[in-house]
Amino acid sequence: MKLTKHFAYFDEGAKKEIRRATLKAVAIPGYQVPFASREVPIGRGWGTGGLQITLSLIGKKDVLKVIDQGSDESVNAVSIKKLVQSTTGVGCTDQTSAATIIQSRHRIPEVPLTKEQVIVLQVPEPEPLRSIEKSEHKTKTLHAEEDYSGAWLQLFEQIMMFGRTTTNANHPVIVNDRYVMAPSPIPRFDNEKLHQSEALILLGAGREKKIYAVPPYTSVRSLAFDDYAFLVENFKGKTCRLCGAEDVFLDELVNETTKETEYQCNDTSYCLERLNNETTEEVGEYV
Amino acid sequence: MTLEQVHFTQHVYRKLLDSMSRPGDITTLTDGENRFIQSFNCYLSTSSLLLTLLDQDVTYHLISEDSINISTKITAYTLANHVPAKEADFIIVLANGDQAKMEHALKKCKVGTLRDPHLSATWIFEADRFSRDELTLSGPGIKTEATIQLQVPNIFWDLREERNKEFPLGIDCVFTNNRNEITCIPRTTMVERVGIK
Repeated sequence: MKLTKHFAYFDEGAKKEIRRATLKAVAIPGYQVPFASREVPIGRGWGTGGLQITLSLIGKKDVLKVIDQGSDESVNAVSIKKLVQSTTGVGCTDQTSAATIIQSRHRIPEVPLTKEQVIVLQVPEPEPLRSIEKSEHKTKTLHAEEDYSGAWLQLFEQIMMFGRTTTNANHPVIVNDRYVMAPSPIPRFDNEKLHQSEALILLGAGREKKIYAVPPYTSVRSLAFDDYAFLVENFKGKTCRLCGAEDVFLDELVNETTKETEYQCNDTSYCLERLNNETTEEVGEYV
Repeated sequence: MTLEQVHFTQHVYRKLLDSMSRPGDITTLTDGENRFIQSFNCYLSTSSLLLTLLDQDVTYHLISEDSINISTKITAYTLANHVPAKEADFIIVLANGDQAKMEHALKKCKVGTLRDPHLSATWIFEADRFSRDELTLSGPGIKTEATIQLQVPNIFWDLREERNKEFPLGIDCVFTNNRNEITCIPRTTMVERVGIK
C-alpha cells in the first residue's frame, strides 16, 4: 500500500523528539522541557503544543476527545479533531469516559479522569514568571535557584490592592514542592483536579516550544498565603439552567429577552450526558 | 521505516510513558509477534526501546561484553552515535555488562544542570527478572508505596542516590527483562532498601 502522508502527520524523527522531551517532562514534574515545536497546519497559539503532543501519543486503538473551553463543538476543537482523524483514522468521541486521549483548551472535564486516560492541555504561556521577568535566560535561572519570590510578591500585591488574589484562570501552582508551574488558563475551579490526579497530565506550548507534565499522584498546590487561602470560583446556590447540575463550573449568560442572568454547564458533554440520562429515565431506552 | 514499525514504536512509547509516570509498575511491552523488530543481541524489550528512542539527534553509551559488535549494529539501525559515558544521552547496560564499567558510567554520566536538568542521561538497564518486595518506592506517580525487586548490584542504588541527591539533577532509569517487561524508576522516586535507611 502506498501512503500519501505519514501516520499522525509527523515524520518519525519529529515524533521521537517530542516523545523524548515528554519522558523527561514526566521525570521532572513541572519543569518546562524545551522542544523543537514543528510546523503544523494550524497557527501558533491555537493549540499547536497540545496537538503535537497528541500526534506523538496517538495510535490506531486510541479514542480522541478534543475540547475547547469545555465545548466539543467549537471551531478550534473541531478543526484539531479533523486534522488528527484525517491523518490517523482514529475514532473521536464527546464522552469523557470513552476517550483515551483528551486534548483540552482551558478546562479539565467534570467527569473524573481514570488511570487509562491521558489529558493534554494546550498552553499559551508556559512561564509562570513571565509577567515578572521578560528574559527567558533569567526566568530559567530563577527556576534553577528556586527563586519564586516574584510569584509570591505578585499575589501579595493583588491582596494589598484588592483585598484578595485577583487571578482569574492560570493561578500558579507548585508541583512536587519544587517547580512553580502555569497550569494553563484553566479556571481556579480546576486547579484542585491537578492534585493527586489519576490520569497523566501533559502540557504543551507550541509557540513557546515547551513541554511539561504532572505525573499521576503528584502533589500540586495552588500558591496561597496562610491568612489568604486559595479560593475557587463560587457557584453556591446556582445551578445549570439545562440540567440543573450543582458543584460544576458554570458559564454566566444573560437572557436577551428577560435580561435575567442564567447559568449553564461549561462542560457541554457533561451537561448533554446528564440530559440524556434524564430523558432515558423518563421515557425509557430507545430501541 | 515500514508502517508496522511506525505503529510498533508508537505502542512501545505509550507503554514506556505509562511506565515512567507510574514508577515500579511492571509493564509488558508487547505480547504479539515482533517480526519487524531488529534484535541487537539483547532482550527484545531493550531492542524495542532503542528503536523507539534513538535517532541521529542523540548519543548512547553501551556497556556489554560484545559492545563493539552490538554498538555497530545499533548505530547502523538507529543512526545514534556511540560516545563515552560522560557525554551520552542514553546509557545501555546489557545483562552481561561489566560491573566496574557500569559503576564508572554511573559516576561520570550526565545528570543535567540546575538550569537544564533535562540534559541528563537516561539509563536502560537489563535486570534479568523482576519480582516484588525488595525495594520500597515512593514519590510522584506512586499512590502510597510500591515494592519491587530488581536484579541490580547494590552499589547501583548507592551511586544512584549519590547522583540524584540534588533534585532536579539526576538520572532516569528504565529496567528491562527477558520476559519483555519494563519498569521505570525516574529521578523523583525515593528508593528504600529493606534493612537500609
